[in-house]
Amino acid sequence: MMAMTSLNYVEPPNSNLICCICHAPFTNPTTTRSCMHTFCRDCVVEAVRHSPHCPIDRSPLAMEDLAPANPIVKHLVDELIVECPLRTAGCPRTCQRQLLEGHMKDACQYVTVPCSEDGCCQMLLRKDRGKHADVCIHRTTECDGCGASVKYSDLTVHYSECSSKTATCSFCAAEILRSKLQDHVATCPEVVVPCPHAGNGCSWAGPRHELSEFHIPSCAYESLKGFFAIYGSRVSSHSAENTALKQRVQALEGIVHFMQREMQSFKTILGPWYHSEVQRTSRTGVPHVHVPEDSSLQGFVGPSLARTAAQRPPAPTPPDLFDIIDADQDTATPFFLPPEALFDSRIHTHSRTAGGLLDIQSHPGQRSLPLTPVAPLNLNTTLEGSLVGLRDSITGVAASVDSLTRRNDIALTNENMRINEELGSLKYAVHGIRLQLHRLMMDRNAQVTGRLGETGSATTGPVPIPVPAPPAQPVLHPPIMTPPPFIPAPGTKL
Amino acid sequence: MALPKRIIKETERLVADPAPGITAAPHEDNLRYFDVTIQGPDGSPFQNGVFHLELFLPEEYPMSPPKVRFLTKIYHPNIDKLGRICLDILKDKWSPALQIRTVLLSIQALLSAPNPDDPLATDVAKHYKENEKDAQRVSREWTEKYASQ
Amino acid sequence: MAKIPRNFRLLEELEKGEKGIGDGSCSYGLEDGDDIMMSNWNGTIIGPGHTVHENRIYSLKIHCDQSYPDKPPTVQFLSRVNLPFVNQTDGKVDPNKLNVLAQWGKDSSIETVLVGIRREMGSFNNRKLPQPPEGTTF
Repeated sequence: MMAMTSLNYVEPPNSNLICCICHAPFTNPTTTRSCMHTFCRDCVVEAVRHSPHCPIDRSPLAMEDLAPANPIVKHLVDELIVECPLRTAGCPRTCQRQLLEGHMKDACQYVTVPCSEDGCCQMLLRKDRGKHADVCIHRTTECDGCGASVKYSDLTVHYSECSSKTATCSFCAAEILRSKLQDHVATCPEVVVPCPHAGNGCSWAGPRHELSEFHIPSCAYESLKGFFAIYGSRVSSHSAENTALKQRVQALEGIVHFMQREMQSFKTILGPWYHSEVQRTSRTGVPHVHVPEDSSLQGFVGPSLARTAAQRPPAPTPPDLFDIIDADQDTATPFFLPPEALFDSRIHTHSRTAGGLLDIQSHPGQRSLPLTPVAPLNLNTTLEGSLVGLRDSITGVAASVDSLTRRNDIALTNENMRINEELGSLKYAVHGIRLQLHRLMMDRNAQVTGRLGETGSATTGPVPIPVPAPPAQPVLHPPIMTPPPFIPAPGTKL
Repeated sequence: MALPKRIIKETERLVADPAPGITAAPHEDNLRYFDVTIQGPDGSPFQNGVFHLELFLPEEYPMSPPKVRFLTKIYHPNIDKLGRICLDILKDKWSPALQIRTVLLSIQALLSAPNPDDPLATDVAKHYKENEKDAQRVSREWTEKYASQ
Repeated sequence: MAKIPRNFRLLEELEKGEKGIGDGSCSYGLEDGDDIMMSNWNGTIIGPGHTVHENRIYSLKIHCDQSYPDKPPTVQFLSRVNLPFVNQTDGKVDPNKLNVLAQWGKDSSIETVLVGIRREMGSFNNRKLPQPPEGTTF
């Protein structure tokens, strides 16, 4: 909608209806409550925003002081006659200002509106809409041949396909309805056709009407027609058979691939428990099955070998676990220590145990540890079975280690107590000796100080032993062990 | 940006019905920029002078005042060497109810009634305060020298 | 947007210059306070710190002809200075070699010219250029 201030008024409006800010008749006339001046609402709001004063008398003015003007004023300006803003475009209409909006929206022929046809984005004057609708390329029209509704823009494309239109036969130049064209081409005498024996090697090709008239009588292949029929049927039966066989081969190949994949996954699962026949033979020297070295069926060897390994009789009753591991070292090594290392560690364990038990050897019953019998590894079962067996063995070993540790602890505690007792008695013995020695030293000291007292101060009473002793008398302090706290320091009481 | 209707109306009226002693014409290439002449009011030291001014309506006009400046040298306490004018309605006393015509009439009135107490050109104002007669003589001389047709 | 005529534009710039701009490292004013056409201006640039220009004061003449501000002003150094866009015989600034003049736009002004020149003085390529003795003029 165009701004009110840009309208042209047919009659010069009464100057009392002119806003002093925009110099046009009021739009939404608004009167100040404080000084009763009237302006357009937008004008005075903008003015107050710039400076809070009445534009006419400069008295202070706030937004709250603005109120709609007397309705009479509003009616006066709404009824002013204005020209249609599109007068320059050609609209001669004049109307009351308040009706202008309706005119522009619905009536004015000079308003730019979009074409109502779907897909047309052209903008045109309302008055031109009817004219345009007749020529708009997006209008819907009817095919005069088949009667279908088609967009005008698509009509040419439609004509080129419409079955009601004629088309020209490209061979005989006859005009034929498009719907019949297909049939015509099948019979048109001018269409170039090959000899019916082209499949057997006749290279002739020419218009259909010449075929039966000239070519067939002279065609060398025509006389062999019966022969071709018989051999043709034979060849086709062979090729049908061939196809069936090919399909079977393909199916079998598919199964082989599937098996290979399965094999591969089984091998992965089995890990060291899988034996290839080559390893087996090289170790035992007795091949269980014949392995074709260069066979493309190498993948097939897997399962049978694995089965062989699984069904193989258990190793001659092994003396202990280590021997089993040794026997299976080629497969088990990645999961166990190398046999030498294992052996070493076993020895080491033994020696350490022996060292640890050395001081309790005097205790009968602790001397030799009973070896827990270990069940031989059963290789006849599945991998899972073997694992369960191994797990049981480990549980057994763990239990015996546990009891051994406990026994060890008891033995150690006992031994400790015994040693403690012995140490205590030794300590007392040493202490006794030390006291005797001390007394001897005291006596000797008394003799020495007695001699000294004759030359120095003789009045001194019992002379305490100086602690720490001067370096001149190192012998006063016999080397002693740190006395227990309840033993008084030497010299203080004795 | 189209010229507001108000400016078009004001221009039309300035040209069609000019105020006495005042002309104003917009530049062709900038309809917000006016060439203005003001005749020195009779009885003032500027009598018989024709003073050229330039006037510009900023984007915010009429919410903001027009910008006006003398292009002719003038010896006046409220007009400085660069022609800038000290007039309250061109500054804080502006009101959107004023217009080009009223502004130019106010400037014309300022020539009749210099106000040395609100000076822009301090030396001229001092002169006017201390020796108005002599100052007016200089104003007349300058009018003669710079503002005669 | 209303196009501000040259004279009112220069009046605005003069008022801004009289108030002082930025940190005071650049300043400008009319060469002659009576010049009603406001064509000739004086500018001063204090050389940027940490460069060969540090603490030097450079004087320039700026001329705004009638085509201002549509066209850039002509700028000429009064103080001798060695910069790639300054003619070493007369001190004139080559408008094609100085960005603020070559890319003159509606937001450009005398202030942006001075600030632009000062920024060039501190640019990597120019900060170490050997300079003529301080205080010499073209």
